[in-house]
Amino acid sequence: MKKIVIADDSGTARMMIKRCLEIIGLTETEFLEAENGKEALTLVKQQPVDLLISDLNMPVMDGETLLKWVKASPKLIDLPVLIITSAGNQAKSDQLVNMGAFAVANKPINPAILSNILAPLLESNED
Amino acid sequence: MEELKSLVHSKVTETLEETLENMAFISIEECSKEEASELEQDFLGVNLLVTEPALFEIHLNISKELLFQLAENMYAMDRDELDEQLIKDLLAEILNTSAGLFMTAILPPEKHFTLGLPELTDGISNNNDDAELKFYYIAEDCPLTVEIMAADTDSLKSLFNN
Repeated sequence: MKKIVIADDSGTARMMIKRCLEIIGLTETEFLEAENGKEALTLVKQQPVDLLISDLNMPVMDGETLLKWVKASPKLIDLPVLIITSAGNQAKSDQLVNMGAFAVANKPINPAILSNILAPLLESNED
Repeated sequence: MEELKSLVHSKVTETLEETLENMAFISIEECSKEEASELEQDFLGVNLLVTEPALFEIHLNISKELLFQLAENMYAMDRDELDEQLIKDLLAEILNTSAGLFMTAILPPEKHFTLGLPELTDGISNNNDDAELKFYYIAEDCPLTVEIMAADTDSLKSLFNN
């Protein structure tokens, strides 16, 4: 993967996600950071991105609204969106996947969790 | 009240433990109010509102010293490189993560819940030593406290009956 956008209002959360991705081997990837959904949407509209990782609870624009915008845009509809949230349970995960999220993970995350979730995307990138 | 206190205490301990071990490889121990106050350290506080399925607030206070230790571990940075903003952001993320784990632990999987955004306070958050649902911990010789405040304890209690 060449470019990943990480949207979370917490710098600590963005750092943890970035570190987990580096541990699972994404060392050559460029990470673009956004503090809310609006900033993330601007970033994914501006350039080709391979993956969007977003929190749910964010000020200005939340992750659910960001997901709706991405999946409603013909140019962005194929962009995989991974939601990483503290406010998720099975019901919320099902709802987000039905809305088009690639996957949903609960905080706290670790490299093993991210590696499992991203395995299909990483394999298809290798092909 | 004692039954509710014991249930909440056990879930708070479990979720705070999981959060801190996962984020910074630091473990916590339960302690008494007296043991925590003997350590006399400066605190930073944060609170977060749970709005659904019941309305209540969670307050987390962590000693500044412990926050610096956590940040040193997580960011692999020296203390003089760490600023107050980073420490506050870390505190907010600890509460955000713990609160989500707490709600997931007490509710059935099909039940929705909604969390507000963490709000930092200048010093200690809700310094009420006589609160019924206030729990004390020690990590790396530093104190931390969690308090849960509900306007209506019956609605909080009902969450544990799911």
